[in-house]
Amino acid sequence: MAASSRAQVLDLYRAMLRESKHFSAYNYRTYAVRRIRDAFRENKNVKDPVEIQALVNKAKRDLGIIRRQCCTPQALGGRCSHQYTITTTDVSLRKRKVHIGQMYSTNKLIIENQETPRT
Amino acid sequence: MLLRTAWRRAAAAVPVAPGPKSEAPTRGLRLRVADHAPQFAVPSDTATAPQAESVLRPLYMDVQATTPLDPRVLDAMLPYLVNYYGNPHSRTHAYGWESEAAMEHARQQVASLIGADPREIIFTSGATESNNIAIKELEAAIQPDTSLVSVMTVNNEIGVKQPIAEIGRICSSRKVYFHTDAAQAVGKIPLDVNDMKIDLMSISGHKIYGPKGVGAIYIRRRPRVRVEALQSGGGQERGMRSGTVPTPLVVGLGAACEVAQQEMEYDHKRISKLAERLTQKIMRSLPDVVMNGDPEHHYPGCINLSFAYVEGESLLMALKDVALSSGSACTSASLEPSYVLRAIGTDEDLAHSSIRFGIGRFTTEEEVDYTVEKCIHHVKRLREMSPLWEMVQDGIDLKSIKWTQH
Repeated sequence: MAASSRAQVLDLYRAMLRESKHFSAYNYRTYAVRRIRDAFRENKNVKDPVEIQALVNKAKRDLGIIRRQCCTPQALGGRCSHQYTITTTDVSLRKRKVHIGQMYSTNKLIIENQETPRT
Repeated sequence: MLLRTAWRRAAAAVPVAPGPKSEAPTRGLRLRVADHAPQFAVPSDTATAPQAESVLRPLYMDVQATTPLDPRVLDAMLPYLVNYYGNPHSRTHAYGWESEAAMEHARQQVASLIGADPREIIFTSGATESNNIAIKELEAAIQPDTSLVSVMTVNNEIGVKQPIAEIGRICSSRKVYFHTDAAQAVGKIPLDVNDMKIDLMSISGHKIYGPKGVGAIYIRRRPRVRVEALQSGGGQERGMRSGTVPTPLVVGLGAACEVAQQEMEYDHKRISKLAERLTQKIMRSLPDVVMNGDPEHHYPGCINLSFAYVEGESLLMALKDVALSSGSACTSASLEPSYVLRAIGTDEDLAHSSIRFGIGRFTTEEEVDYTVEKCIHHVKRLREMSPLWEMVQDGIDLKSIKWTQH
């Protein structure tokens, strides 16, 4: 696999931020957006390609976690969302209508009333 | 068809009352359900309608009581709640093997956080069970020359950090066992059982963004520390804690420990900044506020403040939009002021007016600002109503008053 290009990293960054905004719980949503920004900012000057690849792989794994728990239509190309099933050794995604976060969502926090729409 | 349109017309005429509208289960304090629509329709008249605000949930500022599950931990646990449901002690099939592998991996993750060997970690149902295992040996074998020192690493009420390394050094030189309840400290401050000469350590899952109902006890192997099992049975966990190890829960505990190890520095920096913000803002706007606990040896995420001339319970009730507590959750049912505050020599009246603010990984700056604002507003309001405050404003020294008996 070719070394991760700058464009690839930026795509990953944008994808992660986009998906994180779909967390229905205020605290998870704000944490994810903040952590992703800070982590990418912190590592922006890393030069070693091996280290960069390791960071990119970790980011991809975390993107998978966010996708499974936010289950946005965009993440699945407009189709239904995921369920946790196992094939052989990996956790892979199967198309079923399960929204983990949204299924058990509850009312918004008192502070979201005052939140500006940017978040 | 006609019936349906008639019903729809009738339904439209009735004022919309809160009730279940979609398939999602209704839980939580209020009986309103969040729509599946992307934007929650917040009523536009929130300024005038206090009822609208009451359907919104309070902020959570009580992380010392328990913490929310980190999404990464949930992700690690779910496969073991759906498909990987084998008993980790089953030796004869793949379900057992994969479950055992997960359990051992989790053990490694917990051990790595505290600098221990995985063979020294025993899974339990929580820090309370771990504490009981650790001190049971003392009750069984109390002699002049054997003893046990048991100290909390970080206090859950005032956030004070005990000098663990120094205590460990003293205990090891006197050949005394050293146990520490690190429930509030694990994953938040760096701990190494070998540097700090700890023999026994209790770990709690739900204090470090892991699941409830699981914990671990660290039991040193070199030199060997002998403990007696609390529950006997099939001999699991080296005979020290029989019972099937709950794989989904221990996987969650392991994942929580691994995440904590990675995030410790970032979280600590952020929490310190937020704690500073909270205390500075409150202390700048309100006089007669005391922070309980040593300011130097202090874990920033646990702030215990006493507001003079304000009753703690009434302030808690006033701050109904923020989930807070005064004193620890385990003693919250009683009306006694915190034994910890009494032990550090706090005045009786200040002990009754203490509030504990908990700042954690998921706390935002907006939540802190909102909490500070409400706190200042309500303390001022309660003080206005307080005759003691009035007397203080007039310059009377409360300690000089002789209260008469009626």
